[in-house]
Amino acid sequence: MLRALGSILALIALMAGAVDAQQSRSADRSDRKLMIVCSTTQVADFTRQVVGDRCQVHCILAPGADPHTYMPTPGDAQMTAKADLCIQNGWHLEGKNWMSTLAKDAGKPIVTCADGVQPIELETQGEKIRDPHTWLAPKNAAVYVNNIVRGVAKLDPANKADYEARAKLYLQQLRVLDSWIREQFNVIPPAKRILVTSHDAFNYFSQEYGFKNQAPVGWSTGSEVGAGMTPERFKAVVNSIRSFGVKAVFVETSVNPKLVREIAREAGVEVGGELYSDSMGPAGSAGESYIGMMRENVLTIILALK
Amino acid sequence: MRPLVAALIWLILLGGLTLYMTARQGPNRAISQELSRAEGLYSLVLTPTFDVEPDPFALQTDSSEKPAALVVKLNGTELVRMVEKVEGGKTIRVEPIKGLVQGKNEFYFEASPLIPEAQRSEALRVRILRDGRIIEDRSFWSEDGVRIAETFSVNLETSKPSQENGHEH
Ligand SMILES: [Zn+2]
Repeated sequence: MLRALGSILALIALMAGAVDAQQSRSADRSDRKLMIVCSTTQVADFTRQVVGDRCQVHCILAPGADPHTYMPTPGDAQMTAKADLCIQNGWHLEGKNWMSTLAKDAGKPIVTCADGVQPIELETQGEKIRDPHTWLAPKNAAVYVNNIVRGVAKLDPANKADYEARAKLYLQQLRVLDSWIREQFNVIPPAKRILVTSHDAFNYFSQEYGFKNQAPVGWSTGSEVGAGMTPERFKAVVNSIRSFGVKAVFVETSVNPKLVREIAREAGVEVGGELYSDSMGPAGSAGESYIGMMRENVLTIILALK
Repeated sequence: MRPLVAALIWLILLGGLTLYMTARQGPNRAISQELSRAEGLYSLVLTPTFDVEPDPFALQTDSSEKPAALVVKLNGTELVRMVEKVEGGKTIRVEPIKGLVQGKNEFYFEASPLIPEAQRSEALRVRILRDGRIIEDRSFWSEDGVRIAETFSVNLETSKPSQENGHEH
């Protein structure tokens, strides 16, 4: 009888051990952080705001790098091969679709953040192009955040509520940012709201906050249709600076400032400062986050144009 | 005798394992509590001073789902969800208010002012009526277009309703 009881106890211990081992195995699995590879600095910032420390977020572009002309490296391909999810801006911001090519070659799922935004269509050389610079309006950044939440929740449904809670807070911050921008731009008379920048990145921003915008370089700094600088564009920019009495023009942190300086000289106006467009600033700078870069842009524009 | 011992052994075995598993799960089990429903006919009357628009900054877990313009929750359960524009000054009436309980009830309100009108102070007026008599009347304010997201509690006693205020901005 005692022997029987002893073997029962041993069996219970064995089964309990098996349950423990099973649980620690699943804990090990959940300990491995999911890896997300993002193309641009803004997309990486939005992703970090949603996933917190729950996933590893890597960004292919360094702060200040130009997504239109970037050429992926073998290191980027290796990193993408290890990713659980890729996230891109899309709409050809990543010149020649380098991010979706990386994801496709590695067989990884990809989220396109711009999908769902109401596009501004640029008609150029008989082709219609959806302007990819949509994040420069905070309400479009909200579309990005929602696309990211859905993408990561699909990948990791167990932590969906956690991602959604973080996103909800960040979306509120974007709403506050939007209201703040409107309030700030009130000090610039509508007639003076003319934004001349290096390349045509500020269409959504201008549409949202009542600016007219012009740039010597088209929607891309690369070699796509409607991209690059043409003498006609250069001339048109100089003419409108003169006819509208524009006070200042702006260089961009991710684009060579040479052309804008030349325009400023030609038109006899000042360079009003540097704007963040296709890239955020380096870590430790005021523009290291999306909200930070937008805030700094607004203050730079006001200081130069009011 | 032998079958009885075997049955006892199995009982101990299963009982032991069940006890162990329960102990592992810890205190996370939901505490269910029966709440008795509040007596009387309650109505909720909402009047925004502004045009309430679907919020472009709303969380959208489903891409096909429209963002909400106005949301009211009662004790964590959605009572009202409007996805179309609600004109300023127009009254929205909910009657009866389903889900009210005796004791403390928490309401949550969410409304988004139209973005280009963001420079003004706007309000959402909320009234709660019991059998046609106002028992709660308050306004939640929005400055500079910031979305209204507020909670407040109403304490409902069996005979005389009284109020207790919570605040979140
Ligand atoms: Zn660009």
